[in-house]
Amino acid sequence: MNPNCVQRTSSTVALQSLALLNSDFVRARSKAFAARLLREASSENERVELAFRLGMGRGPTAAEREAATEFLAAEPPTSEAAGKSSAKWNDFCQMIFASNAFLFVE
Amino acid sequence: MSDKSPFYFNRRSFLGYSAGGLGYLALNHLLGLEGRAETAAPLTGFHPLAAKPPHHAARAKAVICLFQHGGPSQMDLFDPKPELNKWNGKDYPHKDLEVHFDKQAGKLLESPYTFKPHGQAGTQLSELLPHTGGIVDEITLVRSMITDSIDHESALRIIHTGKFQAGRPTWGSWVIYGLGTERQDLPAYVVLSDPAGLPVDGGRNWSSGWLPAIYQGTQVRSTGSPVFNLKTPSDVSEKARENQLRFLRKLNQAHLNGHPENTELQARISNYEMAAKMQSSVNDVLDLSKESAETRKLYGLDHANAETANYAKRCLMARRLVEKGVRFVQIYLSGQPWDTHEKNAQKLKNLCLMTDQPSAALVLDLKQRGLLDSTIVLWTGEFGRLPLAQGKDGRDHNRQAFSLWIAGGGFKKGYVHGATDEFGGKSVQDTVRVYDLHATLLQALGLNHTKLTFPHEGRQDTLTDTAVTDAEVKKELLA
Repeated sequence: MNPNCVQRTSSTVALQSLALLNSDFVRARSKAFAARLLREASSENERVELAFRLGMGRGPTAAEREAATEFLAAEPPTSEAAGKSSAKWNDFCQMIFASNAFLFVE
Repeated sequence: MSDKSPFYFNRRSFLGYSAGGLGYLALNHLLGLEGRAETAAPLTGFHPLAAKPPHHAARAKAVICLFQHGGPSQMDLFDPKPELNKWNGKDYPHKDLEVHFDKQAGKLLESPYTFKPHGQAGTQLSELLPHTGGIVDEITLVRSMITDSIDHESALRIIHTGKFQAGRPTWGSWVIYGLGTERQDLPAYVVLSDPAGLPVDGGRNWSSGWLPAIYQGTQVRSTGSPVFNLKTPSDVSEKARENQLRFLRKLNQAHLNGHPENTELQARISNYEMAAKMQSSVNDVLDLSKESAETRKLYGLDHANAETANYAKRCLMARRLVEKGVRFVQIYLSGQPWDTHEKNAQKLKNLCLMTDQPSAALVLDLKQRGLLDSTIVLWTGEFGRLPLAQGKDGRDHNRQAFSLWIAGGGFKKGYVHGATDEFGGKSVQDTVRVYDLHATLLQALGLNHTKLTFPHEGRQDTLTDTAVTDAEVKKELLA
């Protein structure tokens, strides 16, 4: 309605956070992203590297890499994970989508 | 109120930062005094929803608006007109009414319903409102409202946003912008819409317009899952979710370290924490199973009429939300049921059967819980109706007179304000414009309507825009 360029501020609401945490759509996209990481990179380090290159357009910083390593080590096994290692990567990719670095263009 | 955009590194974000949050400590103290936020940790100072001190001592902390879409007929409900009965079937003797469907305008039409005095105040109300009759000693009844438009959508925008132009923030958004919220795990501005469907003008009725989107109303449903995406996906265990949130916090903290001036990033981080907490607290606050049999009966939760039972449920949900510290609750009806262009008398009977008992119960319940003094309950539509018949048995829109009532929150008790002419078609004494109503409601909430500003299109805009409207606080309405 407003033709001029008004600065938009704090345009995130909790419902958007709920959608990123819980919606079927975001979960499905995370699984597709994880499948690509598993397909195109073979080691954990390479997958983290690729996830940041695809998600943020750059490699992970030292702090981000450390957080990723810690997350992957702590991720508990789930029933879905029995026999395959994709579950922790699904959860990992979902948080890449939820992160501020993914949302905001530098 | 800061005129600066919350984007800048301001006093608030500085407080949020320093020493793990001086603002946090101050807020904690405030909340301790308020005694409301028994479980939730408060939002830290930088968050745009963090509780903020009012401009002056506030009478009210919360608002429940029972919005009656369509234009309730004042001379059949709140404003008895014996003279109209005498003139029934005759031509209206003046030429000063603004008629919406002018080709269908008929003769003067009396109310088929009788009025009688209620309470110590002796306030006259229609026989359709026996339960409202039981709360007249708690309410301010305004019989002299006027608005600027005879068209539903523009009149809706006036009463919700202060002007008929589209795209402005609703007054609920202004209230949240001005006062923030005491609970981080519940939405600050909740809309309880009718399961039968949205009201006319839909989400515009709770839009934040050009205020930041975080101040918009959140729709909470009374059937099924109250909020979308409230459940953690079934393939994510509780431990996996905790691990995810820890990871996300670290990613965001690493990112934030490179952008310390951007408060939006911080707000978005808190939103995840808020969303995770909301998953349990929303269900808890809306769980009506702990309510007593007396409460269920008071509201009409098990009423034989399904519409009454549903409206009752939403009124009770509103009380529970306010009890837990939610700032602003709006209840809506589907469509615009009070728009009685035909079968006015019969439709009013059904609508009062639906809304009279639960609306009054809400006021009584808030009172017995000691919450009425700090909660404004507003019952209103967007305009009123004409004393003339439209077609055979209807009534047309009227912007020159309508009635509303307000309970609690520092408004007078057992008080009737203003009057219409002998037929009820025009407000003639102590008129209250919608802008004045807004100014007065903000005043009760501790907000000065001229000081609650936001930069928009090159000026400091406000809800009431006094430069255009001359809005004034109607002190006579306040106790």
